[in-house]
Amino acid sequence: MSFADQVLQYLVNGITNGGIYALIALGFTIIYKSTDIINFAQGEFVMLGAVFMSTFYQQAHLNLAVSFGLSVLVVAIIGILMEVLMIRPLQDSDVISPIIATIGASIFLRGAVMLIWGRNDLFVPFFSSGPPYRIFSAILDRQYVWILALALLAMGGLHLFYEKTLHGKAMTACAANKRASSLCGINVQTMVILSFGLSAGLGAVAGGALAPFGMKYDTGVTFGLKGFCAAIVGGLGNNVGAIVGGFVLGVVEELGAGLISSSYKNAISFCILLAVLLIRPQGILFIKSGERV
Amino acid sequence: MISTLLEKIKRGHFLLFCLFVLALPLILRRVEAGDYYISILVLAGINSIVVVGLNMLMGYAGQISLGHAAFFGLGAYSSAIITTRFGLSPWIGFAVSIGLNAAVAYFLAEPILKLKGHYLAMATLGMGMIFLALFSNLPITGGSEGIGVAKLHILGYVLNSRDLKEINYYYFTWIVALLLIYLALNIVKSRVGRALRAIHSSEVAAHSIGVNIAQFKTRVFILSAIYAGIAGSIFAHYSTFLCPPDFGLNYSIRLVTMGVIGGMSSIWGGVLGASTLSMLPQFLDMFAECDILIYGLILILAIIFMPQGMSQKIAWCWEKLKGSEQKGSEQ
Amino acid sequence: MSMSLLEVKNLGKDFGGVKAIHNLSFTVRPKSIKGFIGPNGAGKTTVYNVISGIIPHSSGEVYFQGERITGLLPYRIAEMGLVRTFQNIQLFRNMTVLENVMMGRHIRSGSGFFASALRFPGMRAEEKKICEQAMEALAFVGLQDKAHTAANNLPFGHQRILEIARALATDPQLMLLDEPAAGLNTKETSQLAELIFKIRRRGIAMMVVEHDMELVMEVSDEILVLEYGQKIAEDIPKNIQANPKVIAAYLGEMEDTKHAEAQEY
Repeated sequence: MSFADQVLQYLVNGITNGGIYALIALGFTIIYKSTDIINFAQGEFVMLGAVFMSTFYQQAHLNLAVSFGLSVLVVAIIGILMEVLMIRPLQDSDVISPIIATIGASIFLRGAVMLIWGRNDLFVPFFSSGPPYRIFSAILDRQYVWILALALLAMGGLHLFYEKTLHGKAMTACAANKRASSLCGINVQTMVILSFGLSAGLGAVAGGALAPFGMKYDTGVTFGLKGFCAAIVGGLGNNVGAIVGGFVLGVVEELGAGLISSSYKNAISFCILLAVLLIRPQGILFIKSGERV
Repeated sequence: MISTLLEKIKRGHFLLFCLFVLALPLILRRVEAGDYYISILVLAGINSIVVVGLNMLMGYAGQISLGHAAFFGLGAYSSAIITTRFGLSPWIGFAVSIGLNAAVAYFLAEPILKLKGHYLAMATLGMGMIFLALFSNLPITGGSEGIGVAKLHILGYVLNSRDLKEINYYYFTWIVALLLIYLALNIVKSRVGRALRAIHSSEVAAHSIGVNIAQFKTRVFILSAIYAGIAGSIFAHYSTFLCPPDFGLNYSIRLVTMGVIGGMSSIWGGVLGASTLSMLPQFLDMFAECDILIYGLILILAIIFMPQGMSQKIAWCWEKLKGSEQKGSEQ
Repeated sequence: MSMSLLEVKNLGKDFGGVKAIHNLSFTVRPKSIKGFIGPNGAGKTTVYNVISGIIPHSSGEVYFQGERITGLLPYRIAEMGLVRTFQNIQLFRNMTVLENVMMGRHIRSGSGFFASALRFPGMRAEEKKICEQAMEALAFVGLQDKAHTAANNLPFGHQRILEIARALATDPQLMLLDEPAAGLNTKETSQLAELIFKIRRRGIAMMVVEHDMELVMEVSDEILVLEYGQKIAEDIPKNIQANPKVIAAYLGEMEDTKHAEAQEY
């Protein structure tokens, strides 16, 4: 395989991973915009999406599409429960408390899944059978196409939601200025609940798409961490930034692992995270605005 | 009369604690499986050292670190590498552990501590993950195969002897811990401790009243790294074998949990939280598969209902006790 | 010209496109009291923030006791003898009243981590001195009985006084007070005026941002008026009261308020 071929493969892999990271990063960003909280349990939403999809398919014998949709719904509800039970009691406390609460939630969810579903990987079959596609010399597994397609679909759906629906516009308003929004009659609490549900749902979409590769109780941790690296890289609080950050991270990680060293693959994301935090914490897409006194 | 007794206890509480700590193993040795309990207390001591340092950073100065396992690991691996790869004295290992942690913390502090809130949390988390990758991949650390650590000896007396290992390490660990706790207590009750609390309360006011906040944040960060490093070195010699998973995100989070549960703004809280959580796995063992779930639940409940930790609840009860005594004597 | 304690020369501060301070020049003489007034949003707190080093300046210079302080960090400026209070009271709420004032002695003491950890005799003596000096400052403002109360539990008026005590404890040459009378009743305000005179008798100069015109007229030797970030007047109180530009600036503000109220009905 020539060097160019290798690079192409890394790019292809990177873009597909990037789709997943983008979805997870979006989840972080949505919650951050409405609550100023970093949700350390975001990776667990991904894991839960796969776990529930597997259960609906294997245990309840529903077909793949229904299992997928149902799992997204269930995880969205879990996200809402998390907000109501854990985040809301802490809304007036300092910065550290909600962070620790979401860390606790992450541990709790992992523990619950381990208790109920055990320690083994859970699977669903690949969404479509057949040989992988070829883009020039690079191989693109069919499931990866599904991953990208679902990711783009989810992002598109989110965009429509924000632009075209009343609730979506209300959420945008809330994210920009909570007090003004509530003065205009927008129920901020509802918006916060909605954002948790949406984030969890997005995570579950990513999880469902990844389900054929196998997930167990602690697989979500790495995804969560990489997802928020992506969110920071693109600029926390910026939806487009989350998406861009996701793809950038995916590609850079894959290129780094392939060209420099694969054993340090995980460290690459964190090096990028540190670099962004130390040099340009607002992220690569942040546009400087004038402050008022 | 009871209130004066309580006052006397309060003033002498450090010494009382020392006596308690030093006497405890002598009692435990007579109990069945006493050595096992002593071994848990060794770990409690090691964790206490790290958490006391961490509390100075998180509770007093108001910064957050989700990556302190990195410093713990740096200390442990320093001792391991110095004694095993270079064959030098473990005391040089301790010196290297302290020096290296101080240096690394010094270089990382300046850029990282400019960040605040969750940005700082994430930067420290990233730092921890990068160190974990280094521990797992650098040839000198033995990577995932692990690395052995030489036995610790004081003036020829080997601590790792078969029969007396637990009790030897208990006394070594807790004497070091008590010393470090004493130093920490002195720091927080001083001008320095006040400045740290001021930074926590209002950085802008602290800065405007003359506190060089960058310097204080850096120094307390270095101090907490040194504490973690010392604990890591002790751990290395105690466990005699290191492997990377012990120094990852899980441990960093456990450290923060210990701080939260005991009370982050209190040195005693650090000791309390570390000791309690070090003993917890033994109870959780009873619940077998539920252990992770219960751990998460404890963390959630603690941060919602007891954000100042157990030490504050105890202090509150203490005040109530004193108050009711006073009321009683007034009647 | 070292006659002035504080010299502000052509100071400018931009935020993005907004000129918060524009070409501002004024001086404060030693042991004097300079009132600093202007309609809301004129930029008075921004001026304080720039002088005390909390935010960087965009143009111009500030000199304190003849030395350039623009570009210095806040703690260095405090060391030189320039301190401030805050409009929205920035007390150290996790400390007692006494500890807050002891923070004021931070720059006049020096025990570091090492000396504190090992409790060197020098450090212990210094702690005792810090405590005594803090009690003195508390006695000066009349709060000595509340020394061991939690700062958070003080009534509002006393919180403002505490902030002043904390600033006094630094042995300053110049204090920038930001709306010290905001939220005080008449009695508290006249006590504040007495305190301000008492501070001046100690030889400390002050700038006082205030909206309470009676108080400003009473305590100030000279008044500086700011509107939209620019100086529109700097004169003795009597003349400021009669200055048409000043009246117009405040009338304009009153007009805006009246207009807004009218629109509600």
